Amino acid sequence: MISTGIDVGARNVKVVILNDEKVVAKTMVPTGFDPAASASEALRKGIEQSGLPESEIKQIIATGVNAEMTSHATGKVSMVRAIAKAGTYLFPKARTVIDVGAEDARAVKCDDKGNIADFVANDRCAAGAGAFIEAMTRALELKLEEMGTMSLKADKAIPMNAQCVIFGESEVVTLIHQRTPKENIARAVYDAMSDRISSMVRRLGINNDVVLMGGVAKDVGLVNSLKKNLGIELFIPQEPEFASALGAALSSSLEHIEDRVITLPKVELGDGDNGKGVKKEYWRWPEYRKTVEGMDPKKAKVITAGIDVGSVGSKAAVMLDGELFSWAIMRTGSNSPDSARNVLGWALEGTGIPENEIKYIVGTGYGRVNVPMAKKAITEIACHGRGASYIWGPAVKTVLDVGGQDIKAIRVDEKGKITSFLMNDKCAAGTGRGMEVISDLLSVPIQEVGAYSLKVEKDPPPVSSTCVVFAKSEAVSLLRKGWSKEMVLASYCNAMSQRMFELLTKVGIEKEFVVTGGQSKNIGIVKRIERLIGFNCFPLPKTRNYDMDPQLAGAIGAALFSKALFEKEQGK
Amino acid sequence: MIIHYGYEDGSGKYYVSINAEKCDACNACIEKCPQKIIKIDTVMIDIEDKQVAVVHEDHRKKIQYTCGPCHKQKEIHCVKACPKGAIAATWEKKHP
Repeated sequence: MISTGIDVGARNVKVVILNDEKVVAKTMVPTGFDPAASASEALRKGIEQSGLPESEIKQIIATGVNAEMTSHATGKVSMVRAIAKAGTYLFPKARTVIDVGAEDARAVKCDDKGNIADFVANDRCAAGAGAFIEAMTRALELKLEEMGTMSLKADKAIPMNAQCVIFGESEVVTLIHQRTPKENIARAVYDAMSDRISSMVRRLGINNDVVLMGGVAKDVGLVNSLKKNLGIELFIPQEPEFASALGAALSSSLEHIEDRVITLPKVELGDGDNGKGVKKEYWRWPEYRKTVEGMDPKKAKVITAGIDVGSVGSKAAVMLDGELFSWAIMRTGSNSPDSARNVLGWALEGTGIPENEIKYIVGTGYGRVNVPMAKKAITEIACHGRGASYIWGPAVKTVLDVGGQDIKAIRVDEKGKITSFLMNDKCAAGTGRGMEVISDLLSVPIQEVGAYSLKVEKDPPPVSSTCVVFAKSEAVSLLRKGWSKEMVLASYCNAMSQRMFELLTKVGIEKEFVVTGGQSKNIGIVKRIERLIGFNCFPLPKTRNYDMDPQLAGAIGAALFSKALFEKEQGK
Repeated sequence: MIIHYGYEDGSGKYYVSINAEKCDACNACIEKCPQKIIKIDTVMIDIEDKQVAVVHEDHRKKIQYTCGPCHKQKEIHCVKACPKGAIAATWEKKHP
């Protein structure tokens, strides 16, 4: 009997043809932008290789994330079933089968007959999938094949904090700037990924023998790290990337899918080239400083400062007796102490205040422990709460802070004291960094993303996945369908606002509501959140003679804490 | 002050929420947690430092997996153990 399995994955299409359970053909073609065409090509090559007449190929079973995209399949089988089938066929003693694909990962627990007892899947977040390694090799400027062997030469285990592909890239770049040997970074990447895979598998319970399949099973670096993490031996098929296709070919339970042909138009993506051969950086936002007019630092009793070193932007606020006097906002460099020094220096520039006249400095933000001149580090939550109360007054009850690498939902009472909060820094969806990735992809300057997204007559449905990695692929496919950039941005901003709204509901939304952080400047997000919560953001008070910047909330809060702590020290 | 440890990603929402004002660091939750994800640490409430139960940093981004077994068995040990009623837990998977 002849049966064919086709695995239409996120990166590659794999075909396995069996003749009486013997493999007679094995082909792989990149999925590219047109999964349907790639599937046809892989199938054609497979038939050619098998030497069988095309009329003999009657049973074609599809699996994989894009299984529905092939019009040739006579049936389809879920990935979970396919890997259980293949795992127990290749290793009869297999009881746990782990499959790590390019954009997802899953594990199944099988009984001695190869039936599925339980399974767990990670298909909504790209961390823990092959995409993580791919992105990190790009950041390290290494070939995929090189990184594995390189990681084996590591002499030190360094922890990696990022749990998201997008943040992982920034973290690797930082490590490179700190001159960490590439060998050690490579190992850190694998260790981080193994940790996620093993957390997933542990939830299922580990029963020997354990089989690892999918393209990443060829990566010696990952296999070595995962073995260490799980503390067991892993069984790996000879060509692990074909295992799912083999499983599909071996599956006899068929579920008919309708024949359909999908044709997609070609898409012109911005190449980020401004015509001068220089890549334009669409994500770049302007840095600036300001001194409030009409205030005299010589008359001040207490000068304090707050430095908020965020993942993307560094902010410094200088206050005279608890009133904002000058500030600076600039991009965070690769080194937190330098960023802190530079931003404070810039905030003081031209004010005539020498640094030693500042009585107390509090550091906050992502890099707060690395602010050398700070007497104390305080979490950004406390600082944003207090800063928001200063900016908008005591009416503020709910604060949403959308920073470069995290989102915080904070509830405060009328004294600016925090009653409830959460910080989501696991996932880039909705953060400033996530927006930068999309702005770069669509070649729309970051400051214009919001306005662009509002140029649609009616909001399109939100992109279906919140993961930035998946949203990127989804954005490309929407453009291919003929959507305008405005529509794609509207769809993306729609999904991100929905996500922020859900975080807000966790702490409870009560009037007055305000948004701080870099994304408070994204009108496309702010307008949509207002629509979701059913009322408008509290406007900035008009009593000041200057334009207040809500991105400063953390730094202002830190400067106010500085004053309180200084006075406490003085015994007042 | 209620601190929500955990996250929400594409797969669902997963939190362990601890009320730092109610908590008196009695260790009951630490003893009962089968995954050992809770410890005592300093938390700043306004400008005062207080010793309270917190979720270990290493576990804050993997609650989907670490707290999965308790939620599956509908026996949330930390929540049950706390004599002050200071702990709440959420574990909701989104179905595509």
